[in-house]
Amino acid sequence: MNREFTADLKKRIEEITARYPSRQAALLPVLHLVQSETGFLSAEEERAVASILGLPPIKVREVVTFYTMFTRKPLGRFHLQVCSNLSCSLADGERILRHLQAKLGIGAGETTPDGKYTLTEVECLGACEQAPCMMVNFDYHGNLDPEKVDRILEELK
Amino acid sequence: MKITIDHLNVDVEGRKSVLDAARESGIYIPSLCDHPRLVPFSGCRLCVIEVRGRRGVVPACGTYAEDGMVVVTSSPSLQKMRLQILDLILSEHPSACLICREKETCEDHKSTIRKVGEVTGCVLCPNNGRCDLQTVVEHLKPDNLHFPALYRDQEIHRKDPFFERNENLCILCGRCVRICHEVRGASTLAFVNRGSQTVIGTALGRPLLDSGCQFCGACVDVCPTGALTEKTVKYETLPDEKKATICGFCSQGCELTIHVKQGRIQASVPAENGPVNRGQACVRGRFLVRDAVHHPRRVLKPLVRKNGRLEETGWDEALGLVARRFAATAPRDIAVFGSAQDPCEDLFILRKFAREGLKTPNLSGVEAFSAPARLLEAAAEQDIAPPLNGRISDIAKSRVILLFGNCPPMVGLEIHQAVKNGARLIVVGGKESPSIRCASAWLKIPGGKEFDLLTGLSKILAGDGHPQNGSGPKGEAEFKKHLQEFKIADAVASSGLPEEKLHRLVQLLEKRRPAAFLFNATFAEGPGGKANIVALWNLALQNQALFIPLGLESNVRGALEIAAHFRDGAPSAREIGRSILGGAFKALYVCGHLPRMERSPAEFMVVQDSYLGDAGEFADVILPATTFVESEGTFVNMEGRLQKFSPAIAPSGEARPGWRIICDLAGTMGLPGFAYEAASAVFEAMAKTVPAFRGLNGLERKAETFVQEPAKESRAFAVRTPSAEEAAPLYEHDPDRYKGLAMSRDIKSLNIVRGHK
Repeated sequence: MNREFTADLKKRIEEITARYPSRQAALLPVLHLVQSETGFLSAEEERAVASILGLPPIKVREVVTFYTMFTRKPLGRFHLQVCSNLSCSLADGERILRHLQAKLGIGAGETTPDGKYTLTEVECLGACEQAPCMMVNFDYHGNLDPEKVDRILEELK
Repeated sequence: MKITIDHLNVDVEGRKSVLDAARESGIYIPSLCDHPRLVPFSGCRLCVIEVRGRRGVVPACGTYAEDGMVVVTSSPSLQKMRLQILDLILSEHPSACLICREKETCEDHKSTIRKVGEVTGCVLCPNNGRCDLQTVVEHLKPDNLHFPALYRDQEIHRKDPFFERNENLCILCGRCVRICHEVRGASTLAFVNRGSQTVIGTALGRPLLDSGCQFCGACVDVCPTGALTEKTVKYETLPDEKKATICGFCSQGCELTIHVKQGRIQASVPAENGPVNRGQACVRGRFLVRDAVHHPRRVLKPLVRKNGRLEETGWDEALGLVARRFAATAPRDIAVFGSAQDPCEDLFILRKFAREGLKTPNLSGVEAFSAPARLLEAAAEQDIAPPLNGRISDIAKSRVILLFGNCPPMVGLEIHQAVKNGARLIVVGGKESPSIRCASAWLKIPGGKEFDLLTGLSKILAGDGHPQNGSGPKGEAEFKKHLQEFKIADAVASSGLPEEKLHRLVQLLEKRRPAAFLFNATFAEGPGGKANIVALWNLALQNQALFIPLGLESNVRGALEIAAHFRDGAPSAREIGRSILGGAFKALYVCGHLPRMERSPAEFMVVQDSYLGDAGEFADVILPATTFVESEGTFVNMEGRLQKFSPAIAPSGEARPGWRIICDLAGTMGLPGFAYEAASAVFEAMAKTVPAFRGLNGLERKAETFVQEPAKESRAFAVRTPSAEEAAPLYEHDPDRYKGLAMSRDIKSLNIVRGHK
């Protein structure tokens, strides 16, 4: 299951690593790049990145599994990330998550069968001032309540 | 400097954490993530302390002692904080037994045995009684837990050999991750996921077998809980006693602690204060001692061949037969082949018996085919005297390391330390090994072709400069002349490296000092072996490098010193070894392993071994010898370190120590001078006669005693070119062999590890 990256992707990886003092330092941007190309990071991509950067594969695994912005499964078209960390919990972010689960009929970490939505429970999104909050793909939505969530979902259609 | 810990004045030397300083003064601070061999992690926060003049609390493991520091390690508020932390840790660790009010009397009344799949409490945990978490709980004495218990319900990883991983017992202290990365350099484990989802995982979630694990067991030894458990002890209770010994599997001489249960070995773990290994071991020392010593191939009674089959018999009959056959054979038709895995006492008596008892000149042994033996041969021919007592720990201080072939595991750890401190490692030849992973370059030059490369490097390093007037080492003028005649093109051709690469290598050597040069038997054997050694020696002289031959068997160095004492000129031990295999002698006395042969090498062959090995196929008599765990003796490790060990368990069956077998045989033959009572008496006799041991005391176990080296001018260049007449290697050294036991074949778990690539 050895994955070969395309020559173009390899070239772009080398461009990134050239900007860093060591190849290991380029791990995050390289993973972002690979994910943007392949959609998600499977074990094959982990292995390929480790081999290109000369790292033990475990070093890639620990980074990929640590950050929620890296995904190891294919995502739906809209990635809904709901924060469950301190500020959002105090502002009942749990309610937002429950609402979405009921509405979409999926649990956290799952994708709707039509491949449209993926729901993820995440740690702090760095937007505590607008708790409870969530991200839809790369956009922030704060001060949420179920009605506001419904409106946001309407607009996605 | 002086610091105050809980009103106690403590003297602290060097840079030391408050936690270490407290430990040394006998003050216990609860801690779960810190470990003496690891960089402070400050993860568990149990070791929080108050420091006068500082706000809040700080972890003792990550706070270094400063002169005049005043530290409080226990107070009501610290106790409260620690209990809260413990509460959180125990919310995800089976805790019922830890706070059970009847735990004191549980052991007496418990009627269940521990054969359960899942551990739900201490009484069902393999780590019961040796658990750091239990110690912390006993110290902090929580009377209640305040969080609902959560059982993680993770699948237990049982597919790997030797040990299991149970995430449900893991407290995520990270000791296993850090020892694997910081000390072992294997980086097999890591924290996977984040926050409450975190577990200890492997690369790509594969079994350890697929993850580059060496199965050294370091993670198991540092695990504070039962999350990592050795499979063979998981259903056993605590050992009856713990005995110290020296590992007999290789030349490093790691100190091991043998856990003994009802007279048998329960486990072998590396001794924390072992001067060579400092708490580390390899898969052999950590997991195979028990299997090897109690192996079904052990010979438990003397065997004598009758009608073509080996049959058990008594010692008197077996020794009587050997005595009669030896007495009926002319001395020059008898040959003796020693094992370098036997202690000095056995080797001394064996050689004394051959020389003074049998009066045969035909003495050989495994040690004659080792890297240090080849070095000594080459040195004697060139009249140079390289030092042999190089310290393994000095390797870590090097800034560039040239490794020829593979190295033993503890040497590998020192190399890894050096590389971590910024050194460069260049590996030449050898097989795929853990060291390759931290190498800057792996030059796959075929064995025997190293001479040209090394001479080329010497030539570039020497430049065009002329020898300084008389100030240089002996032989310098001749050496420079030799270099002038040498063509770099030859080095380029035989190494396959472009000239520019050679210059880069020389730059590395020039810029980074000190250097360490290490070589194994593959580099030293075969055509060109001695020329390789001399070329490397010259380069080491030019560069003031540490120069270490890597012997493999546990007592190669001791065997060489003893062999040197009993040697009387030609033919050499190597030639005799060849003749033995060639069938030149009528009667043979072989200790341990001989290379596999097609037919019997002699009319009458006696094998003294602990196992029924390959040599047993043709043996007429097999005399059962003890293993290192069952006997008293002395090894000399690759540094020349004298390592005394005592028996940890009684001998299996009727096995006897090697020296005792020979003394009994000499007695049966009516030979005088072999009436030794104990191994210590043999050592005393040896210390009186063998120069390297002169004046050394075998009875005292001193941490640092080294055999003596001849005081001779060693700094001299020499010139030697490869010659084709040297025959191919006779003896293939296998690190997984102990006497007649090929562990990678005969022990299933190691077979899985070695067979798995």
